[in-house]
Amino acid sequence: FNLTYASPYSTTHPYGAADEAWIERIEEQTNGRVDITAYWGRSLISSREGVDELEAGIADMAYITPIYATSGYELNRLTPAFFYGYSDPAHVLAVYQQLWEEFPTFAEELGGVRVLGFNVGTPMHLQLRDDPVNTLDDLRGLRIRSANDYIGALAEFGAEGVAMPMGDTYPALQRGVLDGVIAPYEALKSLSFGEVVEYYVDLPHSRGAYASRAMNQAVWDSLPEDIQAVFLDNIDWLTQKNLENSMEAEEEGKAFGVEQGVTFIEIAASEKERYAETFTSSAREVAENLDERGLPGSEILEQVRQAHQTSD
Amino acid sequence: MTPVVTGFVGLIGLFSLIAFGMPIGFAMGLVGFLGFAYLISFHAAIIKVGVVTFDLSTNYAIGTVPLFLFMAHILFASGIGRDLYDVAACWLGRRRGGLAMATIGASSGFAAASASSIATTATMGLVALPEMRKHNYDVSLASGSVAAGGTIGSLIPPSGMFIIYGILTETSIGKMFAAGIIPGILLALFYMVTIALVCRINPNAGPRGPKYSLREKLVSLKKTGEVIVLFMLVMGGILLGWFTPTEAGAMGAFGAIIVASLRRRLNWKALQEAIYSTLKTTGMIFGILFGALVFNSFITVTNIPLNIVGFVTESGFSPFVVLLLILSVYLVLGMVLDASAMMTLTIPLFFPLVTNLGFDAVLFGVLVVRMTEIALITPPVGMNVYVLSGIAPDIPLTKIFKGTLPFVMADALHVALLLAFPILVLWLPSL
Amino acid sequence: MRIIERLLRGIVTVGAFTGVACIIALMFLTVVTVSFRAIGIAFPGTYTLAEILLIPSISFSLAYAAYEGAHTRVELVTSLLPPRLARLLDALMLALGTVFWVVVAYAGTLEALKSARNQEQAPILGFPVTPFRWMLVIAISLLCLVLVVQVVQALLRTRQIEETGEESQS
Ligand code: NA
Ligand code: NA
Repeated sequence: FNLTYASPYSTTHPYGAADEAWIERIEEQTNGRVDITAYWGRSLISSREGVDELEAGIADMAYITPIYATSGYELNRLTPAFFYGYSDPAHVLAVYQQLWEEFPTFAEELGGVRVLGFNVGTPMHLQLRDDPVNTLDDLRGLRIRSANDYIGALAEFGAEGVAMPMGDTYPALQRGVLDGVIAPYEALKSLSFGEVVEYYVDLPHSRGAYASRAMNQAVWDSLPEDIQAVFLDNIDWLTQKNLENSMEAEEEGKAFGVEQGVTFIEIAASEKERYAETFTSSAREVAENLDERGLPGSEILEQVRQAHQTSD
Repeated sequence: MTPVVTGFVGLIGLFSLIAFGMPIGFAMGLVGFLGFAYLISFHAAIIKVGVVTFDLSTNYAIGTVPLFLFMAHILFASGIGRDLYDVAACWLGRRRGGLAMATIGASSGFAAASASSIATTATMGLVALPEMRKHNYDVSLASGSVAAGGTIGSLIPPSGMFIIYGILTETSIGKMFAAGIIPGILLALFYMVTIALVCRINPNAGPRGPKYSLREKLVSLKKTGEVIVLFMLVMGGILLGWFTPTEAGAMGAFGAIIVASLRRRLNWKALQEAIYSTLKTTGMIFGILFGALVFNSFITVTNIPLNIVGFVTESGFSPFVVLLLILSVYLVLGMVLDASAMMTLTIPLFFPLVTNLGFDAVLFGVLVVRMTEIALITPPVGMNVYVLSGIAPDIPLTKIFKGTLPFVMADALHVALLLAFPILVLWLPSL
Repeated sequence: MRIIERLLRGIVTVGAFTGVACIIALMFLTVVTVSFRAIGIAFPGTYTLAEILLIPSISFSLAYAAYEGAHTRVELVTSLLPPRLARLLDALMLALGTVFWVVVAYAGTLEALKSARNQEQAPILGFPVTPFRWMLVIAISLLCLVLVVQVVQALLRTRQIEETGEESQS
């Protein structure tokens, strides 16, 4: 079976590296009956519409990012925002996978594809160019590159969130168009931010989890059961490998930051809580919108928040 | 047909359609769509086309090209561009090929404010090309120096290609920026020497202008006022962190309108003409880009690039030979693919190989970016040349490609020099 | 044919005006954002808005460029052929090339329908994106229309050449 695999990431990225190892493993465990050709770095698949592209058969398998879709896949796309305040990716992943089992709508939304792995983003923090942030009041007046999800929270504390493309961010930090960026430890090295920021403030912006690897459903249906079984047996392996690689990249990022003289600032727990609270209303709004569409939004939100209170 | 064979059939189809007069972008799009549909499926091809076109129509980074074009059209319509070349003619016109050299210099300067090769080429094409032609320069030399000049920008920070490479390979973007400066300046010098040589072989290529006295030269400088103000506004804005290079197009266009209006160089009619020309040039460039992106998707699934990469990876040659092979792969792929498509497709595969062989990531990055930029001026698919030909439709494509040839040879020497003396690349980043 | 040509000119004028207006709006959007940034006032929606404005700018520019005959092409072979055959070849190439844009328009329609079904919204600003996706479809359809008219014009011209035996203006 000659199958194609497409990813928007490169093999130097932790996700791409996990895919590479996974491909080797699948080929080995099927005794070479499955042979996979990989296309990296957006050469065959986009991140915004990857699910649709996979569904249409542009590739047989792909790294998908339903969270970056501009519409559709409501539960998959919107519920990761419910994980605000979480700081342990492993915990996020556990809670999320639990949700997937409990609410079949997650899988139904991705009906045209068969999910083969999950991804959890490591938490992002505040990286600053000139001035440190020790309390949330220090955010006032700062211009910060941020994903759309965090712009509202930044605004609460008088900071401006800028949804600038990632490619522009480095020069913008270098020249001071931006005062900072919300990005994970890993980006200190992988995106070279360690070279242009002075401070790393551990104010968490959790990213939640999502179904990240999948196979086109028709291709899946065409495979014999024993081959399908190999893929199914490796869902957890791939998911864990991905997390492992991400955590390693976090460490490398931290080390690079230290090397570049970045000052790491630990912010008080009370401040973190105060910050997390600002996400409450927008999360509730998202949940209610989902409810209106007949989806279990509030139910999921409730569950995610409860799991946070009881352990994390 | 196997995918590879399909790929070659597609290429033959593409070149036939282009030769028979189909607009280049249309031909790339059509062949790309049909090829993709044949190899994957009709439905998949439709979805791919939809994704690619919408992505391109909402891509902020590429989307600022129209604003750079607007700035260039205003400079052209208001005669400010002409003034700049009058001054250049005054100071450098006496030297054979002087205006072409000035164009290389201006391209390098403009590159410091622009992250995109296409924007540089289009701007200089509007400003410099008519002036060189007015001074009786050979169209091949004139257009060749504009198209080639556009490629210098990728070496001079800010550089979009270095950022893409840095993100794809997790190489320090700061080091890449530093590494590009010396090779960039060297390249500009190489290009100027090339112009001098072309003019020595064919003295009519860049004829001598009249002689001016020092007094006349100094007086002429008054004319550069507008351009200097505009340049300082744009460059200063970027260096002081007021705006990003992507935003510079809009700031430059707005600044050009203000400067030109204040000096009463721009009336309503000229402004109208400038903006409609901008729309036309934008359509011409995106017509090619739309087709090129669909075509790239097709070439990707033909596995031709993967096969070439596989061949190099398993060749077992000595490290240096492998590096040379890789660089020539870029030259070959560059004949049919555009720069960023080539990078995303091959870098993830070549990079681990090259670093395992012990080459420096920064050095490899500079060499690769250089090769992808050379691809922009080599036939048959050379984006800078296409763009220029759209701006000056009366110059046949073949003449421009003929004009870029000496510069491509200079490029080969330039790359060889960097390979022989990597210190030229690695010294600045090591500081 | 006259009436069709006049009608087409009218539609293209409107389309081109839309494109031009969006490019100018894009410029002012950036200028205003940069200026207000300097005095500390934020516009979080700038990038979203810019990306949306790009859709009509770029798609109508394609139609306008086609109307003005500005799409880059090589006249290597056609310049060597007798005028009638050259015109015929031009018409054929343009007709074939139109196929690609019909595909683009069709693909855009599918995307617009999906966007409507999903009630796609612009991030941050929250306005519906679907009308802008339809704008892309309209602009590309206009491009196709322009091309079809040009094909017909080219064919009519070959007939003229046939009748008079030579081209009136070359
Ligand atoms: Na540059
Ligand atoms: Na080329």
